[in-house]
Amino acid sequence: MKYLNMITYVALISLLMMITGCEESTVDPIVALDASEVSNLDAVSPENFTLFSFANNVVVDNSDSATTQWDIGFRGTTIILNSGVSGLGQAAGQMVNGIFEELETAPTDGYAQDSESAMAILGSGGWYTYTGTTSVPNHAILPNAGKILVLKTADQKFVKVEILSYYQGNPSTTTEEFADLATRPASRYYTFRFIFQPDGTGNLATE
Amino acid sequence: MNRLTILFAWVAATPVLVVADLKCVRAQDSLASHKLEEVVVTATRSERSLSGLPVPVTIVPASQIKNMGSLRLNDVLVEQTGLTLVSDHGTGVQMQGFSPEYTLILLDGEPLIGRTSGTLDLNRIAVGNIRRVEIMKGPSSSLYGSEALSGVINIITEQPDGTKATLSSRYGTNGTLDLSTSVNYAKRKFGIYAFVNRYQTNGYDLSPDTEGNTVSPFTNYTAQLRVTYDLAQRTRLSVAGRYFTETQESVTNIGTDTDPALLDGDGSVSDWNINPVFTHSFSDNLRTTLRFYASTYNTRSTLRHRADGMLYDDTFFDQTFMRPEWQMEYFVNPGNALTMGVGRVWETVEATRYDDKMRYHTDYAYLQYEWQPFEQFNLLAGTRYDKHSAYGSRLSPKLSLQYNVWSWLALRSSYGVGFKAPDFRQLYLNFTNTSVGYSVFGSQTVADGIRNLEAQGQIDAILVDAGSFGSIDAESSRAFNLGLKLKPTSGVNVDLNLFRNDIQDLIDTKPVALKKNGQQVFSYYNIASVFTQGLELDMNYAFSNSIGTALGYQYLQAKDKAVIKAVEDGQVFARDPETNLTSRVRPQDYGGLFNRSKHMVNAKVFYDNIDNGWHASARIIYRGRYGFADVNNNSILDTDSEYVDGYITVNLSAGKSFHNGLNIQAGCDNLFGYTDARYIPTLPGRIVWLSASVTLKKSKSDE
Repeated sequence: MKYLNMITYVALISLLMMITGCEESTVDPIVALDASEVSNLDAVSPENFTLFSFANNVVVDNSDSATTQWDIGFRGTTIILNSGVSGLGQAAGQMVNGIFEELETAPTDGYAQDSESAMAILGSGGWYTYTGTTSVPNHAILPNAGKILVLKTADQKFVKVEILSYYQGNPSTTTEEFADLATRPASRYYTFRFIFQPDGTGNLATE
Repeated sequence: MNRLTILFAWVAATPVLVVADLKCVRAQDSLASHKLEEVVVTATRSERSLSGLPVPVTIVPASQIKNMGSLRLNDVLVEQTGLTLVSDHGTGVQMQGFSPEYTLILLDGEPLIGRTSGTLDLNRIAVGNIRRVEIMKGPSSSLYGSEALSGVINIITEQPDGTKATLSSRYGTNGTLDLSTSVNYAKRKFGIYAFVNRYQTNGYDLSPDTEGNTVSPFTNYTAQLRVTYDLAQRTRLSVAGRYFTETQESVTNIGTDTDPALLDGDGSVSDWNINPVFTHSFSDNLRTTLRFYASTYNTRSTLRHRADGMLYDDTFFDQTFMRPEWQMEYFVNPGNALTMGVGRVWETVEATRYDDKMRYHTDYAYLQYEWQPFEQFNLLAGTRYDKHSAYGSRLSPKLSLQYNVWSWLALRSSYGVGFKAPDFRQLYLNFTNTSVGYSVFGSQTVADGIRNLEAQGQIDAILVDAGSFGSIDAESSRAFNLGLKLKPTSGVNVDLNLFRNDIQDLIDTKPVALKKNGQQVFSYYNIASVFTQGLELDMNYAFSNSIGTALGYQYLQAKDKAVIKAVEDGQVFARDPETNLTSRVRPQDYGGLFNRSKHMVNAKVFYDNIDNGWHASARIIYRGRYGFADVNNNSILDTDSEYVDGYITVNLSAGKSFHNGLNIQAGCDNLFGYTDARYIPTLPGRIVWLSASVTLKKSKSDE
């Protein structure tokens, strides 16, 4: 009898948990997240970083560099986050191996801020590979496959980012046109896609 | 012991695959032929009969080289089973899936030096004075030490013999002119053989739209001399020397097609060596050999702006190698023989990218035992100890067995260890790329290099434990070869070999520090482990005394073990270069190491009629598709667009020898003119050539 009581008790608790679980999802459904794509973000300036806000999906004017309105900045191949030596915010980031769509939850730790010794997002050997003279196409900056940037924005919201191209127009890199330096589209133009989670959780599932 | 019992024991200890192959090879029973007894020196360092050797050795005799009309060693090697040419700072040879730096190239048993990025340019070796080429596969560090990882190619040159002089010339496409002369004289105690060759070519250009040639014009000279003298009945002194020099002029465009900025290049390469050898037989059973070998290799290249003649780049590389060696051979009785030797190698290098003249030395000793307890069984056991002044010591054992089950079937297997010492570059490099800003240091120079950069305030962060600086080990492999030799009927020879090489501690660069300019500092570490495995099959069939045919095939797999693991773990991704979208690489997509063909085939027919002097050959060489470079951004071979298509070259030759010593020959290499400007720069288009030679011989009766 004693055991039966216990079983009933456990079953009741379980049922209750299920009900409350269901209730939560009906009351406050998870917002369907769609990936946003940013094309040809201009990082041409040799002096200023092009600053970007994930929450608003806009480029932030450089006069606001000393605020927390931006999350990430681009200048050539260098990527900064709004934190540490780069900004006043608390942004942080890391690179995760995987497929963009499959990465459903942000890691709980492992985030770094920009510091004197290293940027949180490493350039060569990090987000990109410089092909040099030995491989085809020559002298190209190619984003590394399967490297997802998982970031915390300046105000601690999670976002995942995949850089697709460093060249204007997100071109195919197998064409003769791309192989020839004279006809290759201009560099320092980022195309990337991202999913921003506004609710403060690490849930980054697509759709 | 019963032959069948031994056979079954052997087969039982062998992978099932071999049994399957036995069956399929026996199906060739209908073929028929014969073969002369051939000798080999590479396997034991003295002459042994090929048929008794338990290790896979291929011999390419001078008669075949002459019939093919070959000029340089690469022409000869490209047609051999399991060998392919690789272009990386010169033309090197790939054997059992290993890059050129893992094959030791010997000239009369002594190592040729002078490698650029690991490649010893085979084009430096003329073949006009070659008696035969011996190709021994499988690690042979037990006898030869460093570099003999995949195998050994030993070029055996002519010995003084009779009284003879030859003059030969060949002219062909691309203005290639080859002139050779040799003199051979031997009388009583004294013998001399001299050979001089001049080779000149205009090179070729597979991409005429761009400035500069695929191969720029060059001219080289080779001179070789050997003098022998019998000091006493059982005592002989032989002194051999070689000198080689080459000059090349090139044009490079460092601007663009529309706005060219041309550089004129002048390059020179030279090497010389000298090799006195003293042999004395104390008795029929005991023989001693004292060898001394010294060699240098020098290159120099300058690049100047065409516009103003200003120097753009000036580099040099000077290497020396010196080795005394003492060897004893003791034939205990017909079934037991011992060979032992000791020696020391001194090496130096001085070059643009090294701080000072770098020196190191290696002390070594080797011991080899040949055992033939009964006629059908041969055992070869050897080991060698090498102590290197910079990185440490190695012990390299090897054991090989052959059992002649019946007169028509022999089984053989060998297990051995090979190694390659870290080279000069990996030990001592000190290089900073001035245009990009990264630095590379050798393992022995990295600690100082980092300290200097730190003092200059250039270092941002050190990425590895500084205690790891200076620790580097030799690259090493363990290899298993298993084969059989089959002579089902007279005239037919089948040689099958299965191989597996496990290579560890491969040296590669790794970032060790981050510079303030955002670039990295690299140094050399033992990083990768790879394996190569496959099958080599050689079949020969002589239709008659004058017609011989040969068919060769190699199946090869060569893969990086860490990549296999990462792919299986789903940690390798590919970016479609057209859409820039990313996907996960599946295990079945991984194609292994770049530049390895899974399938290679050669088929040859040789005709040589001693009665009427006519001779001819037709050779078809197929190289299966292979990876050339990564295009989908994961640095591994995993998609169709990363492969170069397989291709066939057909080479023909025909000629006639006259009784007065005249020989006239014509040929066509690469008959269908297959070229691929982008991926196969080593393959010129169709080459048509004509040659004439004359041999003046004093017949024995005149002496």
